[in-house]
Amino acid sequence: MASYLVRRTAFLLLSFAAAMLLIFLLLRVLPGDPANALLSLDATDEQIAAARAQVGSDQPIGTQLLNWVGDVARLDLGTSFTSGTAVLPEITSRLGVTIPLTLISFVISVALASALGYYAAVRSHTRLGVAVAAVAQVGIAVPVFWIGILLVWIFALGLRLLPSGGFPREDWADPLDALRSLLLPICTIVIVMTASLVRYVRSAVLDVLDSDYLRNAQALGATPGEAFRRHGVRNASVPVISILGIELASTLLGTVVVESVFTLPGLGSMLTKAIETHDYPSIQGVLLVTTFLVLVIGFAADIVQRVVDPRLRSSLSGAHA
Amino acid sequence: MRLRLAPSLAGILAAGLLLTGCAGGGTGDATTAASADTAASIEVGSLYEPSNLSNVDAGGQGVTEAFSGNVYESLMKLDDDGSVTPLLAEDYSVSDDGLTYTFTLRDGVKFHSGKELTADDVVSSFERVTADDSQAARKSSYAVVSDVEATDDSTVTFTLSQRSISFPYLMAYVWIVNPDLADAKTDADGTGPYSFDEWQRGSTLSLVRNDDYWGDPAKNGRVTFHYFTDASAESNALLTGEIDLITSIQSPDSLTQFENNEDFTISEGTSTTKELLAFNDRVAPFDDSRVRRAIYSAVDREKLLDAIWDGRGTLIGSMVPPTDPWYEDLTSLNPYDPELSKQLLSEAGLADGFSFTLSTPNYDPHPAVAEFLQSELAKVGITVDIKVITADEWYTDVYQNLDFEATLQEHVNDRDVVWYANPDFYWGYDNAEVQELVASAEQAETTDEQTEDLKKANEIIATEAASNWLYLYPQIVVASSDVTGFPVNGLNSQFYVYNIEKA
Repeated sequence: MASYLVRRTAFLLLSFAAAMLLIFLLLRVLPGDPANALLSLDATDEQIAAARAQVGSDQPIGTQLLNWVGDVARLDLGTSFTSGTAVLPEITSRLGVTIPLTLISFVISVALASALGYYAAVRSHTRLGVAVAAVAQVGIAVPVFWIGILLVWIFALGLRLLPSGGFPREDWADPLDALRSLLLPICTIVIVMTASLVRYVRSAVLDVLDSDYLRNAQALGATPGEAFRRHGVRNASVPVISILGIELASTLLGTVVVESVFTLPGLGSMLTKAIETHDYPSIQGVLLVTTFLVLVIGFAADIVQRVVDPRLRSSLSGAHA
Repeated sequence: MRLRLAPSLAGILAAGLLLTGCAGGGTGDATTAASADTAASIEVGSLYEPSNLSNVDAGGQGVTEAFSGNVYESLMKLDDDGSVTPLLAEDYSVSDDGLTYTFTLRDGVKFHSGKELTADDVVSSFERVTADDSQAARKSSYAVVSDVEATDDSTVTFTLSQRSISFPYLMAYVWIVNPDLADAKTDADGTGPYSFDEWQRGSTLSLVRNDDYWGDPAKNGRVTFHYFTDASAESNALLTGEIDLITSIQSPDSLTQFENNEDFTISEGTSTTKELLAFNDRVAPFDDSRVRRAIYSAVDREKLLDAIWDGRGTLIGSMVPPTDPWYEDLTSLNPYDPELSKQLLSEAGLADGFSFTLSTPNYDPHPAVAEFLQSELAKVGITVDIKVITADEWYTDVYQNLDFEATLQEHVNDRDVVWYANPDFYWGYDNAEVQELVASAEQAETTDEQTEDLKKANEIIATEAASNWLYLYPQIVVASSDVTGFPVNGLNSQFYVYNIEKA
């Protein structure tokens, strides 16, 4: 396990370095000049030159890359071209919206999907079981923004129960107020995420239910429920955990749409605004932090999977490369 | 010649206005609501979040909207109807040769930090705009100033290298900023009726009433701008009462839910934003004015306006919007007439038509306009290839490298017809007579002369169809019906909020 951890960590760092290079180069391949975002329609040649010097786009790409890598190593994500403020504190403050939004949605979705998926598998021959699976299929096919708009239409415009968007100016000073603002966005994500997770849970549980060891356990006198709790849960969770990692990561990235529908000051809206204004330090910063989080989530999912599944643990501690 | 506003006369006038009860102040369009709450908090919805809080560092139109006239003030003020009047200047005088402008500052003006306004602050504010690294709009116009000096604590003298009749107008763009302010991008210290309270990036920017304001106090206690990236989210917020008004509706679709609803009022004013089909006048066949006119006459602009703006907005026929002093109605100069268009084309030797590439910015309304033009021009034998580009590509390829045949662009500012006198500008219109008229307008001794010259210039530019001015955007403010006193024209993206009242 220890050598696996070392190898897995090395891989994490290598991926991160590759991602950094990719982020940097992709931005430079895009047409246009970041200095343009600073210019008005009547800009003079000297204003254009000053803007280019200010954002550093007059320097060779190699120099720009080295400067950036050096800054990141010192945990300095730079200063926004447009706002003149440091990028890192802004990202941290935006994470105050994005992380709770993602995590709360994630936890609720996992709980809901586990229950529903289990039910759909165990009752796969009943009408209700089939219905759960069918509704999940529909849920996956519906775009996120559409669900968001629908919820706003019903709960904000129709029933006037909840705000249609926005986040309290005081952030989390009044947690209930903040949660109220997040309720509809969370519901939106939960609907989409649960729908997608239910399928995996259902098929994992179906696989286990069909297994010989569970039949054995029942033959030895356990009730179906007891047999599943004792032998099935662990086995069913292994494939689901790896999917959970991917789901969590994609939700983190997918909040862009939800944040736009509900006007939330999260990481997603920061990225959209930064791309609009060609603000390289902010774009790079957001991508870097999200990439880092996604890589760490993948890392954690792998470790958890191995802790849960002893077979993977033993096979990887020894011969397996 | 001396231009001087006698303070005593102004005082008498003001007193008279007060007595007759019509002291509107500010934009003058404020109707007093029955039981207005002077402590009310006004929630304003906008799509234009500032990039930063400085107007010389590319803060964008959002910072103009939130801060101009509200937090920061200038020596002169550009009113919502396009007129220019003294603001922080008590009055000003011009020397006979037109080269020296002397401004006397108002007494008792304080920055929000408590510091008294002095002439030195005006000098440093001006230098901030003209500094090497300044990205201020119209920066090049200030090149005419050869010297600026604080003659005493309350007097500032500008010396010009040549006459500039627009000089007082240009002063309306120079915010007076406390030079002690450490970072104007993230903080603010002005003299206006509001002080800057807080900016939650990505969400809200709030202003609170300045109780030490030198002039009439704001009619509300607090104004918060709520920023949206999505127009329908903005409309929803108005429908659910989270915001009180929307500064500028950008799509007619979102209006349907407010029409015929007594909870909301829709006000349509005159903007200064023109939708242009601009040609590269340097390259054939667009160097021939007959071709440009042919294209203009091939397009049914009335129908275009219906399609894009549901009939709102105005046709202008030139670069000059009605709020500019030199406006005249030139819409019939190049009428919609496909037969005339074909005739002009054959006169230009293009009877069989031709094709050109239209560089189209990828954001609204340009793609829709481009497709409309494509189908209209096909009827007279002209093939349009639409090339969709980003705003960024527009700036690099069209504006800087002049690598285009024709393009679409919205020009937002007032008084910008003068760009046709600059042959190096992106559209490359080069007409010596226009250049002389614009130069002589700027050298004029009276605004009447200036207006006359610019009218003549504009007539030539329009007759030659230097560009095709497709329409003037409407300026639509939708507000909850208990809200009154907002500016209707939103000239140059300004949005004075001090007269807004909530019942």
